[in-house]
Amino acid sequence: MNFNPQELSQKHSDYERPNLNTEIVALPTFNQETDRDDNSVTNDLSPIELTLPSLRSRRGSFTFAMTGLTIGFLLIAFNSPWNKEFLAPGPLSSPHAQLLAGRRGARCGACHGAAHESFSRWASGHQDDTAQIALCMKCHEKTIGNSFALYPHGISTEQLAHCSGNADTVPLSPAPQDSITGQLVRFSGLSHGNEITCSVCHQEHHGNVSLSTLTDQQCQSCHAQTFHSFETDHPEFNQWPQIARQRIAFDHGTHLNKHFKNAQTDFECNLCHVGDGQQKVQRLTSFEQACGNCHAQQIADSGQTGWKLFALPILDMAAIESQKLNVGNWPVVATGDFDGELPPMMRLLLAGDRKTLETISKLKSDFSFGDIDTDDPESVELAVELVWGIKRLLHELAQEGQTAIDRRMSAVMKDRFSSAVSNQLLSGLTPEVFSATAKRWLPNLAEELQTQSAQQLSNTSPVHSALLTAYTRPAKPVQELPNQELPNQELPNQELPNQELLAENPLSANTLQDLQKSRQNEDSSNQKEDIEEGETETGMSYLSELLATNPLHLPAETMGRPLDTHLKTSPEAKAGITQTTTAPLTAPPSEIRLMPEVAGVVLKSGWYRDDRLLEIGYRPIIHADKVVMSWNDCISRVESADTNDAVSALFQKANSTAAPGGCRRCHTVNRTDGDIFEFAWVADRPKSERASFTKFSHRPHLTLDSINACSSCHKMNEDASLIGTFESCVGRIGMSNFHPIVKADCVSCHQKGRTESGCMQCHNYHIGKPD
Amino acid sequence: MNHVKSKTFTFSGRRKKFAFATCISILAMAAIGGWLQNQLLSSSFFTGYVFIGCLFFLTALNMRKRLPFIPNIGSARFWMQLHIYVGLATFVLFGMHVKWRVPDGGLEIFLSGLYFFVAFSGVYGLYMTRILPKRLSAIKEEVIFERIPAMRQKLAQQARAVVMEACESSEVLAKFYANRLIYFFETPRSFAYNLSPSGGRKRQLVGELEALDRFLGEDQRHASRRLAVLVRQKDDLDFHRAIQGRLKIWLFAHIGVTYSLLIVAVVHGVLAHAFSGAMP
Repeated sequence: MNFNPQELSQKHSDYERPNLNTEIVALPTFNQETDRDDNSVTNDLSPIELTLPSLRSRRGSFTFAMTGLTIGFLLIAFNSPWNKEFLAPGPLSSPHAQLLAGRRGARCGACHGAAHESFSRWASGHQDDTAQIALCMKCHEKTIGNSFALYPHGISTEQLAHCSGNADTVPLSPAPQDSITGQLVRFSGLSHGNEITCSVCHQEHHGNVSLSTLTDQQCQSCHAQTFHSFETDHPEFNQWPQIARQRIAFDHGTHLNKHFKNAQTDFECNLCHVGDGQQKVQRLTSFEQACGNCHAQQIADSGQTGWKLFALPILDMAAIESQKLNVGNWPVVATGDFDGELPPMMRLLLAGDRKTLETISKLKSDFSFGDIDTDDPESVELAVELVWGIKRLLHELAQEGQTAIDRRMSAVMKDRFSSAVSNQLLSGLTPEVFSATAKRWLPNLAEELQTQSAQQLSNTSPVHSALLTAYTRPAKPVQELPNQELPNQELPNQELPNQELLAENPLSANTLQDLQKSRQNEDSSNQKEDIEEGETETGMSYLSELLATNPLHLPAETMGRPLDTHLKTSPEAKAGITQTTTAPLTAPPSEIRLMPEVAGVVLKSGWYRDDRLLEIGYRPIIHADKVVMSWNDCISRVESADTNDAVSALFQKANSTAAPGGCRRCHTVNRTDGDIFEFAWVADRPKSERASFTKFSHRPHLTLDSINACSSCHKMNEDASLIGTFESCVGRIGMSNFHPIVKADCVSCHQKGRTESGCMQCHNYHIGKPD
Repeated sequence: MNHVKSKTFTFSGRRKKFAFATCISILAMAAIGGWLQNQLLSSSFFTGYVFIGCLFFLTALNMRKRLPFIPNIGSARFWMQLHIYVGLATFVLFGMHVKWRVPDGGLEIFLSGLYFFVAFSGVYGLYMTRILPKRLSAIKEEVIFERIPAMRQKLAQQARAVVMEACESSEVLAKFYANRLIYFFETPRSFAYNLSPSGGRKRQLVGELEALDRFLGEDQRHASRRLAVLVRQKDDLDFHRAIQGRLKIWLFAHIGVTYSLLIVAVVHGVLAHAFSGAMP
């Protein structure tokens, strides 16, 4: 090349170039001018100079254009209909994606409060970050609870200190506030005081991956006691899984070595223990399948004695008269020397009366009227006050039915009263039973109570007591009862009825036949004749209707009215049938008669009234009887039921294995933290309000060939005996027929190189309870 | 000649130190990120801040070129070395920031695309600046890229003048020039040649010129030799343009997209903070 490039007016430079936006290019040209006349050509090689944009300048323009294009693209993207999809940092996990599947417009705003703010707010950092946590808790408060949701493990620092067993050193946050880590935590906004934000662990928009996965190192960022692997450093299990005693008093050893052996039956685990839907745990099967074959008859036998709900004591009228006290009318069959127990159920209901509560509090838990000292005026006066309390109770039950029960139970149970449970206390018992009972046993009860109340107000001398038979009937129709005089005191020729069944006996075929018969009679055309021949069947028919519907919750206008009054409003009454009714008190369904009671032949269950003993009671003969369970649930809810004046007697009886029905023979009673008791009706431990720190699923383990039997892990302790260990209301930890599972049982598989052995494999993080 | 060893770092000495420092920095970042993750802190914010800081630092090389008057900020060569090593370190930082997953959000994919475009254009440029100068040095003449059009024009004029002189006695060379050489001298080379420059065209044309010798007289043969020399010079000039063009064009891509990358990265950071769910 025969020219020097540096001659072209470009300043020499080794590396750095001048920052010029333009460059002057000396462009040599070949100017060819042709003369048309002589075709001569003139060559002019003199260069011309051009001013062109420099390469740097053109690069700058290109950069500027690219930057503008990017900004324009972002503006379009932010304001486009698909901006949510563009701005989202990735797909959601399956649970969240399913929830937000149809919420295209408000998709981001469902979880991010910032979605409702502008970019300028985002850039200024003034957005409301708490909104995002609140939005998380909007859905998750049902399982975590709001109070301590952001605290470590979702529990308070005090609870955490209690769990760790070291209140002094328990960390309040992932890192101490004064440490470098703590300062970083505060700076990052991931923690505030004791609270940790959700996004620390739950990082969304990473697709369908687990949001709750934590590494072992992250667990140990808070835990002072650190270890490197499960097999080498994890502490030995603490009597796991025997955390608390069984809820059912079941001795595996006795059943294996004695009962099943005597019955020559194989003792198979899966007879009682069955997997749940997901086979996470082995549930206990039903009573009927697991226990019924042997224990159903025991329940039926023990229930025959029955629970007394209401009973009239035997009063020494002479002693009462000698003290110039008055108990009003009293059945003559219930007179003599003071005698008769105060049924615990009735004692509980009496305690619900403000006037009687003081009297009840003076009584021993095992008080009986036989304890009354006739020479002691105060003792006799106590008995008289109790009698008036009993009368008030019967009157209220007759007048108000379930309402009276609710009021009295509410007075005893206070804020722990539950109408749902209370409604079951007299399940199957009609209000007319008490109305009929009052008229049969104490015909002038309303007037007596009215008079007694007036005398107390005027402080005048009481009227004298009067005796009457239990079957004294008013001579006039019931509607005239308030104005009539006291009935005759004795009707010696009246026949005493046999024991009566008040409620339907599901096991008695005779009763069903009677009911069917009564319905047939109802449908007969000659209704008037039926009524004249015996109102009993009409009353029974009415009873069957009541039993089929809601026994105690009658309309308000029918409550407290005698059965005859109700009959008058019935279709038959409207037809004028009751115009001739003159003996309405014979109508109650108590006339349904049982077959002679022979144990084991005719089982009588449900409510009964005994006019010889003047008592109303209940016989449970089947498993899981709702009435007995409701009474037990009610009394167990009362604070300190074992010492409470009102319910201690009933509690002690219910807590006895000899109680009718024998609930306590199998079902344990456990004292809870709130000093209340709990009848363990269900064998499986109730789902705790708080999740457990430890989790275990049988499912993956039962598929292993190496674990071919339950006994591979659950090794029976032949020497252990649970006899007598279920009597207390406080169970001992570790009380089991089985040896505890030890870490070595798990380490055989859960070790590095074999299968997962991280913290989260067996431990839960969130154990906080919902508010 | 001064035999005293200078305390100033040489280029190769700096390269070793920078490479070592880069490795140490990457390991330190990985350790800090892992520690933060185990402390229930978000390592993404840490790596994100470091990453965007690196991007601004890499962009500062351009500022350094624009501000040569500021004293004691190091030579441009020193800055270029820093630029290269920090740029290489951002590959690891990027992996740590996205936790070695493929980004799947729209904005994240866009941002990642911009980063990889800038980063790989940088790597390509680094490769070009290391390899192509050696290929250019095979040609003795130094050519400034911006002067190539003028030089091409001058060569075309010279070729025209030679042919004009030769055509006075014979038209063979003139016809050959009109049919075969005028397009070669007057126009730049094709896009395919710029992608993969080769001497095939040059060898073909020179061979054809030599084949004309039997039809030429002594003077015209002399002119033919001069034309062959001009063909070789034009081919060398085209080779310079193709190779230097690569060195120029990659900077368009590298710098032109850098500011787009910075803008999108800042937007991403703002969004990450706004939607992080952190406590106030």
